[in-house]
Amino acid sequence: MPLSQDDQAKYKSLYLQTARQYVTELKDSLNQLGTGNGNDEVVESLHRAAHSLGSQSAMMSYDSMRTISSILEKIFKAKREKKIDISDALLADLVTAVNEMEKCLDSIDKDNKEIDVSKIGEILNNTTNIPEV
Amino acid sequence: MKILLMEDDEFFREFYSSKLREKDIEVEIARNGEEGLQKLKEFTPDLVLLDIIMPKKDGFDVLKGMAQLQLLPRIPVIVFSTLGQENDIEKARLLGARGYVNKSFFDFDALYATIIELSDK
Repeated sequence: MPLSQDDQAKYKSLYLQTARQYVTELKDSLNQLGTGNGNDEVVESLHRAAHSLGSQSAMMSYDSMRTISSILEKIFKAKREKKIDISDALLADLVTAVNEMEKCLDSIDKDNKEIDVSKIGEILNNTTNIPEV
Repeated sequence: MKILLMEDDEFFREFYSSKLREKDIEVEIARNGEEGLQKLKEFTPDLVLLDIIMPKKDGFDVLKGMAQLQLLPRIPVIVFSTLGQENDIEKARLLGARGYVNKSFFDFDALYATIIELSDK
Protein backbone atom coordinates (compact mmCIF):
# COMPACT_ATOMS: atom_id res chain seq x y z
CA MET A 1 0.00 0.00 0.00
CA PRO A 2 1.18 3.57 -0.58
CA LEU A 3 2.95 5.41 2.19
CA SER A 4 0.94 7.88 4.20
CA GLN A 5 1.34 11.53 3.22
CA ASP A 6 3.20 12.08 6.47
CA ASP A 7 5.69 9.34 5.67
CA GLN A 8 6.02 10.56 2.07
CA ALA A 9 6.99 13.99 3.34
CA LYS A 10 9.18 12.62 6.12
CA TYR A 11 11.22 10.33 3.84
CA LYS A 12 11.35 12.42 0.64
CA SER A 13 14.65 14.02 1.56
CA LEU A 14 16.29 10.68 2.38
CA TYR A 15 14.86 9.21 -0.84
CA LEU A 16 16.38 12.00 -2.93
CA GLN A 17 19.71 11.72 -1.16
CA THR A 18 20.03 7.95 -1.64
CA ALA A 19 18.51 7.99 -5.14
CA ARG A 20 21.10 10.55 -6.25
CA GLN A 21 23.85 8.35 -4.82
CA TYR A 22 22.56 5.46 -6.93
CA VAL A 23 22.41 7.67 -10.04
CA THR A 24 26.04 8.67 -9.45
CA GLU A 25 26.94 5.01 -8.99
CA LEU A 26 25.15 4.12 -12.23
CA LYS A 27 26.95 6.90 -14.11
CA ASP A 28 30.37 5.89 -12.77
CA SER A 29 29.83 2.22 -13.53
CA LEU A 30 28.49 2.91 -17.04
CA ASN A 31 31.55 5.05 -17.62
CA GLN A 32 33.72 2.10 -16.61
CA LEU A 33 31.81 -0.12 -19.05
CA GLY A 34 32.40 2.48 -21.77
CA THR A 35 36.13 2.54 -21.17
CA GLY A 36 36.37 -1.24 -21.34
CA ASN A 37 36.77 -1.73 -17.60
CA GLY A 38 33.41 -3.36 -17.06
CA ASN A 39 34.24 -6.49 -15.11
CA ASP A 40 31.69 -8.67 -13.30
CA GLU A 41 31.94 -6.51 -10.18
CA VAL A 42 30.95 -3.40 -12.14
CA VAL A 43 27.95 -5.18 -13.66
CA GLU A 44 26.91 -6.45 -10.21
CA SER A 45 27.13 -2.91 -8.91
CA LEU A 46 24.95 -1.65 -11.78
CA HIS A 47 22.39 -4.37 -11.10
CA ARG A 48 22.28 -3.65 -7.36
CA ALA A 49 21.98 0.11 -7.89
CA ALA A 50 19.13 -0.22 -10.40
CA HIS A 51 17.35 -2.74 -8.16
CA SER A 52 17.63 -0.57 -5.05
CA LEU A 53 16.60 2.57 -6.89
CA GLY A 54 13.54 0.81 -8.30
CA SER A 55 12.57 -0.63 -4.90
CA GLN A 56 12.72 2.66 -3.03
CA SER A 57 10.98 4.49 -5.89
CA ALA A 58 8.16 1.95 -5.71
CA MET A 59 7.94 2.52 -1.96
CA MET A 60 7.62 6.27 -2.51
CA SER A 61 5.12 5.78 -5.42
CA TYR A 62 7.41 7.48 -7.94
CA ASP A 63 6.22 5.40 -10.88
CA SER A 64 8.40 6.85 -13.65
CA MET A 65 11.53 6.25 -11.58
CA ARG A 66 10.33 2.77 -10.63
CA THR A 67 9.60 1.82 -14.25
CA ILE A 68 12.86 3.04 -15.75
CA SER A 69 14.86 1.51 -12.87
CA SER A 70 13.11 -1.80 -13.46
CA ILE A 71 14.06 -1.70 -17.17
CA LEU A 72 17.69 -1.00 -16.27
CA GLU A 73 17.62 -3.75 -13.64
CA LYS A 74 16.49 -6.39 -16.13
CA ILE A 75 19.16 -5.30 -18.64
CA PHE A 76 21.94 -5.49 -16.03
CA LYS A 77 20.59 -8.79 -14.72
CA ALA A 78 20.67 -10.22 -18.25
CA LYS A 79 24.22 -8.92 -18.66
CA ARG A 80 25.21 -10.40 -15.30
CA GLU A 81 23.81 -13.77 -16.44
CA LYS A 82 25.74 -13.43 -19.75
CA LYS A 83 22.50 -13.42 -21.75
CA ILE A 84 23.20 -10.14 -23.56
CA ASP A 85 26.12 -7.98 -24.62
CA ILE A 86 26.03 -4.24 -24.10
CA SER A 87 26.83 -2.64 -27.45
CA ASP A 88 28.03 0.94 -27.83
CA ALA A 89 24.52 1.94 -28.98
CA LEU A 90 22.88 0.29 -25.96
CA LEU A 91 25.44 1.88 -23.66
CA ALA A 92 24.57 5.31 -25.09
CA ASP A 93 20.86 4.66 -24.47
CA LEU A 94 21.61 3.56 -20.90
CA VAL A 95 23.55 6.76 -20.27
CA THR A 96 20.61 8.76 -21.68
CA ALA A 97 18.25 6.89 -19.35
CA VAL A 98 20.36 7.67 -16.30
CA ASN A 99 20.54 11.34 -17.31
CA GLU A 100 16.74 11.36 -17.57
CA MET A 101 16.51 9.80 -14.12
CA GLU A 102 18.68 12.58 -12.77
CA LYS A 103 16.33 15.19 -14.31
CA CYS A 104 13.38 13.32 -12.84
CA LEU A 105 14.91 13.49 -9.35
CA ASP A 106 15.54 17.21 -9.79
CA SER A 107 11.89 17.67 -10.74
CA ILE A 108 10.72 15.69 -7.70
CA ASP A 109 12.96 17.84 -5.55
CA LYS A 110 11.89 21.15 -7.07
CA ASP A 111 8.27 20.65 -8.12
CA ASN A 112 7.32 17.48 -6.23
CA LYS A 113 6.41 15.71 -9.47
CA GLU A 114 8.12 13.37 -11.92
CA ILE A 115 8.91 14.03 -15.57
CA ASP A 116 7.92 11.60 -18.31
CA VAL A 117 10.81 9.22 -19.01
CA SER A 118 8.76 6.65 -20.93
CA LYS A 119 10.38 7.42 -24.32
CA ILE A 120 13.86 6.22 -23.33
CA GLY A 121 12.22 3.30 -21.52
CA GLU A 122 10.51 2.25 -24.73
CA ILE A 123 13.77 2.57 -26.68
CA LEU A 124 15.58 0.36 -24.16
CA ASN A 125 12.75 -2.19 -24.14
CA ASN A 126 12.65 -2.34 -27.94
CA THR A 127 16.44 -2.56 -28.22
CA THR A 128 16.95 -5.31 -25.69
CA ASN A 129 13.62 -7.20 -25.91
CA ILE A 130 14.12 -8.80 -22.50
CA PRO A 131 11.06 -10.16 -20.65
CA GLU A 132 9.92 -8.24 -17.56
CA VAL A 133 11.86 -8.87 -14.34
CA MET B 1 12.41 -8.35 21.18
CA LYS B 2 15.59 -7.82 19.16
CA ILE B 3 15.73 -7.95 15.36
CA LEU B 4 18.78 -8.00 13.14
CA LEU B 5 18.04 -6.05 9.96
CA MET B 6 20.42 -6.89 7.10
CA GLU B 7 19.90 -4.32 4.37
CA ASP B 8 22.39 -2.48 2.18
CA ASP B 9 19.98 0.27 1.13
CA GLU B 10 20.12 3.23 3.50
CA PHE B 11 16.58 4.33 2.65
CA PHE B 12 15.05 0.99 3.63
CA ARG B 13 17.35 0.63 6.66
CA GLU B 14 16.26 3.97 8.06
CA PHE B 15 12.61 3.48 7.21
CA TYR B 16 12.14 -0.01 8.63
CA SER B 17 14.37 0.44 11.67
CA SER B 18 12.43 3.59 12.56
CA LYS B 19 9.05 1.86 12.17
CA LEU B 20 10.17 -1.15 14.22
CA ARG B 21 11.60 1.03 17.00
CA GLU B 22 8.25 2.83 17.19
CA LYS B 23 6.90 -0.59 18.28
CA ASP B 24 9.59 -0.81 20.99
CA ILE B 25 11.51 -3.42 19.03
CA GLU B 26 15.27 -3.29 19.42
CA VAL B 27 16.92 -3.18 16.00
CA GLU B 28 20.51 -4.01 15.18
CA ILE B 29 21.73 -3.07 11.70
CA ALA B 30 24.02 -4.85 9.25
CA ARG B 31 24.87 -3.13 5.96
CA ASN B 32 25.74 -6.29 4.05
CA GLY B 33 25.68 -10.03 4.45
CA GLU B 34 29.25 -10.30 5.68
CA GLU B 35 28.59 -7.82 8.48
CA GLY B 36 25.33 -9.61 9.26
CA LEU B 37 26.99 -13.00 9.68
CA GLN B 38 29.64 -11.43 11.91
CA LYS B 39 26.93 -9.91 14.12
CA LEU B 40 25.22 -13.29 14.39
CA LYS B 41 28.40 -14.62 15.98
CA GLU B 42 28.25 -11.83 18.57
CA PHE B 43 24.61 -11.99 19.64
CA THR B 44 21.41 -13.94 19.03
CA PRO B 45 18.48 -11.91 17.70
CA ASP B 46 14.89 -13.10 17.98
CA LEU B 47 14.50 -12.73 14.23
CA VAL B 48 16.41 -11.69 11.10
CA LEU B 49 15.01 -9.43 8.39
CA LEU B 50 17.12 -10.23 5.34
CA ASP B 51 17.54 -8.42 2.05
CA ILE B 52 18.53 -10.67 -0.86
CA ILE B 53 20.52 -8.43 -3.18
CA MET B 54 23.43 -7.09 -1.11
CA PRO B 55 27.17 -6.55 -1.65
CA LYS B 56 29.90 -8.82 -0.25
CA LYS B 57 27.58 -11.65 0.81
CA ASP B 58 24.01 -11.70 -0.51
CA GLY B 59 20.94 -13.06 1.25
CA PHE B 60 21.51 -16.59 -0.05
CA ASP B 61 25.08 -16.59 1.29
CA VAL B 62 23.73 -15.44 4.66
CA LEU B 63 21.18 -18.27 4.78
CA LYS B 64 23.91 -20.79 3.90
CA GLY B 65 26.18 -19.27 6.56
CA MET B 66 23.41 -19.40 9.17
CA ALA B 67 22.83 -23.06 8.33
CA GLN B 68 26.55 -23.79 8.79
CA LEU B 69 26.46 -22.03 12.15
CA GLN B 70 23.34 -24.08 13.03
CA LEU B 71 21.37 -20.90 13.64
CA LEU B 72 18.45 -21.47 11.28
CA PRO B 73 16.41 -23.74 13.48
CA ARG B 74 16.58 -21.18 16.31
CA ILE B 75 16.44 -17.82 14.52
CA PRO B 76 13.59 -17.28 12.05
CA VAL B 77 14.44 -15.36 8.88
CA ILE B 78 12.05 -13.15 6.93
CA VAL B 79 13.26 -12.24 3.46
CA PHE B 80 12.82 -8.72 2.11
CA SER B 81 11.78 -9.05 -1.51
CA THR B 82 10.39 -6.89 -4.31
CA LEU B 83 8.16 -7.61 -7.26
CA GLY B 84 9.73 -9.97 -9.78
CA GLN B 85 11.81 -11.85 -7.23
CA GLU B 86 9.56 -14.91 -7.02
CA ASN B 87 12.39 -17.27 -7.98
CA ASP B 88 14.64 -15.67 -5.38
CA ILE B 89 11.94 -16.08 -2.71
CA GLU B 90 11.58 -19.76 -3.52
CA LYS B 91 15.35 -20.23 -3.44
CA ALA B 92 15.51 -18.46 -0.06
CA ARG B 93 12.68 -20.62 1.27
CA LEU B 94 14.54 -23.78 0.23
CA LEU B 95 17.60 -22.43 2.06
CA GLY B 96 15.59 -22.01 5.27
CA ALA B 97 13.81 -18.64 5.18
CA ARG B 98 10.46 -18.87 6.98
CA GLY B 99 8.64 -15.92 5.43
CA TYR B 100 8.92 -13.01 3.07
CA VAL B 101 7.59 -9.47 2.75
CA ASN B 102 7.54 -7.14 -0.23
CA LYS B 103 9.60 -4.29 1.17
CA SER B 104 8.33 -1.82 -1.46
CA PHE B 105 4.70 -2.54 -0.62
CA PHE B 106 4.53 -1.09 2.83
CA ASP B 107 2.12 -2.92 5.10
CA PHE B 108 3.59 -2.61 8.54
CA ASP B 109 0.69 -4.34 10.30
CA ALA B 110 1.22 -7.43 8.15
CA LEU B 111 4.98 -7.33 8.72
CA TYR B 112 4.52 -6.89 12.46
CA ALA B 113 2.04 -9.78 12.61
CA THR B 114 4.51 -12.02 10.74
CA ILE B 115 7.34 -10.98 13.08
CA ILE B 116 5.27 -11.78 16.17
CA GLU B 117 4.06 -15.08 14.74
CA LEU B 118 7.53 -16.31 13.76
CA SER B 119 9.37 -15.06 16.82
CA ASP B 120 6.85 -16.78 19.13
CA LYS B 121 7.49 -20.24 17.63
